[in-house]
Amino acid sequence: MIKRFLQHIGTLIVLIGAYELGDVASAVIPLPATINGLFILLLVFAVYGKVPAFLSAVIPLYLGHMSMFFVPAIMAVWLFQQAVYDHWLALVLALVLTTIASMALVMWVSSKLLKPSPKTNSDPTDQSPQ
Amino acid sequence: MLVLCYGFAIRFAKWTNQHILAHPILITTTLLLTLTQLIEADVGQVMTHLHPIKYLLGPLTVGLALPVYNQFPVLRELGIKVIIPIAVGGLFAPLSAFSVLYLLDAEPAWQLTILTKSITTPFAMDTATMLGGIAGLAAVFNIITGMIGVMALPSVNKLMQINDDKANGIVLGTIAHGIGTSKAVLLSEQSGAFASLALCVNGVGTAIVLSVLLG
Repeated sequence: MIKRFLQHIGTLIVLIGAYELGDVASAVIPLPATINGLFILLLVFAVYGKVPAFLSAVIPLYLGHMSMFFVPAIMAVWLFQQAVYDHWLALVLALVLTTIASMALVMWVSSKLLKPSPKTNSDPTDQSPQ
Repeated sequence: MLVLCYGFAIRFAKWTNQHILAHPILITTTLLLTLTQLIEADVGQVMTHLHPIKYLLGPLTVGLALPVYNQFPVLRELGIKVIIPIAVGGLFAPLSAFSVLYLLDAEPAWQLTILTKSITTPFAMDTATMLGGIAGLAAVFNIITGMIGVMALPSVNKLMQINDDKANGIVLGTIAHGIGTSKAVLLSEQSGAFASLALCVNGVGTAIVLSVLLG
């Protein structure tokens, strides 16, 4: 229980630390804090030689629930609802259709360039021997 | 309150057997907005109270370094072949949306704002402002695009007769940015890694193009 708690605290410190460092780096490298932070963490893993155990244990849990953290930004849609209603047709075309068209295009290009992975059980929580 | 709504949304999603419309984001947001209206609170104020959660999205996105690192041997082996689809999507997505709005004679500010629909949300808002668009609206376009990406994936798989982890990851990361990546992570570590990579490359590419355009 204590160990788990400490793992979470440790992970949060690492993630927030990397993010804040990324923010500082943004002054010099014109990329968002998130991306800088991600590269910084990658660098740490590369230098350390592997991913520390506590991070491997906790990060996948956080990533799985990332959706929740988008909710505050999504609530912004509510504030713009009038504008969305007024321009619904343009938005449907500009957002829905172009997004699906882009997805189809990228999927096609990806499949042409990259060999499909062998069909194995891709459930990350599955512990059974492959 | 947010955590309760989210917890409920997860259970609801399982109950409806992961039906497309029952994505936790939609359910949670709907619940939260409904509750806000019921207690007659101000949505803007609620959003201010949720600021710590909004902040944590940044550090959490940094955590995507984990799947990328684990998949590094695969990514390194594929090299430029991974970058090409990301570049294609990274150009086609914003330009096609811009063209539609341009042809429909939408307000110029909207045309500029929609260019940021496929890059990671916080960056999209800053970029929209730099280009002369509207930050709040950028978030709206951005989120809607992300949701469409996640919801439309099975249909696109069927349409293209392709259902591969790598391709799915690249599509989700390039077009549906962070929201797509969080879905890709749930599909498999490989698709999560490819989506994270696509997210980064798209972000880096956009930053470079912008520095050239605006610099």
